[in-house]
Amino acid sequence: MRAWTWAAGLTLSVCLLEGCSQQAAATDDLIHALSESHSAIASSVLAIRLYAQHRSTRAATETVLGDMAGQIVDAERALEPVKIDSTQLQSDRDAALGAIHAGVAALLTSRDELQRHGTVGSAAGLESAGGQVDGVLGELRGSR
Amino acid sequence: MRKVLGLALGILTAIGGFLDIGDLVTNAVVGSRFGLSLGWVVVVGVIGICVFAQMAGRVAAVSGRATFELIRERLGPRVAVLNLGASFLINLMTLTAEVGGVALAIQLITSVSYLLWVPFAAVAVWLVIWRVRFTIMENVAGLVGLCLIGFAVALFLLNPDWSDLGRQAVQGVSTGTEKVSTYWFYAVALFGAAMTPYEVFFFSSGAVEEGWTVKDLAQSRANVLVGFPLGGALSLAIAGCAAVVLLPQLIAVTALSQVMLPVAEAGGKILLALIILGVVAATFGAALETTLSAGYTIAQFFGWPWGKFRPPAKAARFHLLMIVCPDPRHRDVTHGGGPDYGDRNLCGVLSSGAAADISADPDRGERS
Repeated sequence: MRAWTWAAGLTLSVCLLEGCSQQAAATDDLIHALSESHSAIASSVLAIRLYAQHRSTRAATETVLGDMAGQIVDAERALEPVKIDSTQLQSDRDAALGAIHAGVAALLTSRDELQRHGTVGSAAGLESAGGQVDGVLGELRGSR
Repeated sequence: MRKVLGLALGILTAIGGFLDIGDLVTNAVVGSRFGLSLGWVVVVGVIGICVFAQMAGRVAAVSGRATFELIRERLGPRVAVLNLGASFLINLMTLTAEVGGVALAIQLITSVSYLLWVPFAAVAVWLVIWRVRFTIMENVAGLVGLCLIGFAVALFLLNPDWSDLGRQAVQGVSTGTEKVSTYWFYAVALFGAAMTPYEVFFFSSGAVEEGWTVKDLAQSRANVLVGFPLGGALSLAIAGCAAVVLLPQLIAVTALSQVMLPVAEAGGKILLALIILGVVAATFGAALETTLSAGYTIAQFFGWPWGKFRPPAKAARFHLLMIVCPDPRHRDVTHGGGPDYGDRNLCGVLSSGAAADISADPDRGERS
C-alpha cells in the first residue's frame, strides 16, 4: 500500500513539475521572440535615423532593414509552435503576437518605402511598434 | 632601410590580416551583449595565437618544414589523420564563412542580396590564388585590411566613458543580465575566433613559401609579437563600439550590417566606406588563407609537392585542391553551412572553431 502511495505521489510530482517547466519554457520562448523583435526594431530605428542625418548610405540602410525584417519575421514564426495550455499563456501569446505583428508591418513598410522612394518618411510607426513590444516584454518579465 | 621597411610591412600586414569574419562578428556580438567583460578572452586568445604562430614560424624557418609535415612525422599517420580531419573540416567551415563574409560586405555597398555575390566571391578567390604571387596577395590583403583601424577611430569619436569601459574590462566574469552558460558559450566562441587553426597553418607554410631562414627569425618575431596584439586591440575596439552604441539600446548583433551602425554613428559615410572596404579585404584575405591552408594541410599530410612557388604542373594535386575548395557547390551556403545558417545569425561565430552547434542559440531570451 505504502509503495502505491509513493508511486502515485511521485507521478503527481513529476506531472506538476513537467507542467510548470512547460509553462516556463513557453514564457521563455515568448520573451525570446520579443527580445529579438525589440532588437530588430531598435536597429532599424537607429539605421533610419543615421540615414536621415546623412551619416549612412542607402545601400547600408537597406541591408540593415532587410536583415532586420528577416529577423522579426523569424521571431513571429517562432511563436507558432509554442504550446498553449492555459488561458494566461494564451493571452500572453496573443499580446506578443499582436506586438510583433505590428513591428513586422512597420518594418516592412519602412523597408519598402526606402527601396521605392529612397527615403523613409518617419520612423514613428516603428517607434510605436517598438513601444508595444517593450510593453508586452516588460509585463512578461514582471510576471515571471 | 630595406630591412626596416620589410619589418614595417610585415607588422602592418599582420595587423590587417589578423581580423576575419569570425573576429568581426563575434566581437560585435559579445560587445552588444556583455560590453567589454569578455575582453580578457581576447587577451588570452592573442597570447595563444602568438605562442602557436611564433613556434610554427620558428620551426619552419629553422627546418624548412611546415606544421603538418611534422605532425605526421612526430605523431604517426593514424593520430595525424584525426588531426587532419578536424583541421580540414574547421578550415572548410571557416572558408565558407569568409566567402559569405565577402558577399555580405559587398551587399552593404550594393544592397544586392549576398546570395548573388557568393559565386563571384568564390571565383575571385580562386582566380587570385591561381594568378597572383604569394607575397603580393598577402601584402595587398593585409594592407587594405588595415582600414579596419577605423573601428578604433570610431571608438574614440564616440567619446565613450572610458572609466566605465575600463571597469567592464577588468571586472572579470560578469554576465550582467545574461545566463552564466551564455557568457561561457561566448567566451569559448571568442577564444576560437582569436585562435583559428588556419592562421597557424598559413603562417608556417607561408614561411616555407617565402623561403625564410634563421636570419628571418627577428622579422617573424616582430610580425607575431607586435602585429597580432595590435590586431587583438582592434578586436577590442569592435567590441567597444558595440558596447557603447548597441548595448544601451539592448540591440543584440545578429547580422554584419548591425556592426556598421556604431561606425556610421561615429564617423558618418566616410568612415563607413573605409570600414566596409576593410571588411571586404579582411574577409577576402582570410578566404585566400583558408583556401591555401586547406591545400597545405592535405598536401603536407600525404607528402605531395605543395606551394604556390611551384607551378601547377609540378604540384598538380595541391593546385587542384585550390580549385575544389572554394567551389560553393560543395556546401549549401544558403542553408545550414553558410552565413545564413539557422536564423541568419553569426556567420562569424561559425568560423570560431568552437566545434559546437553554434546555430542553436544558447540563450532562450534571458536578457532581462
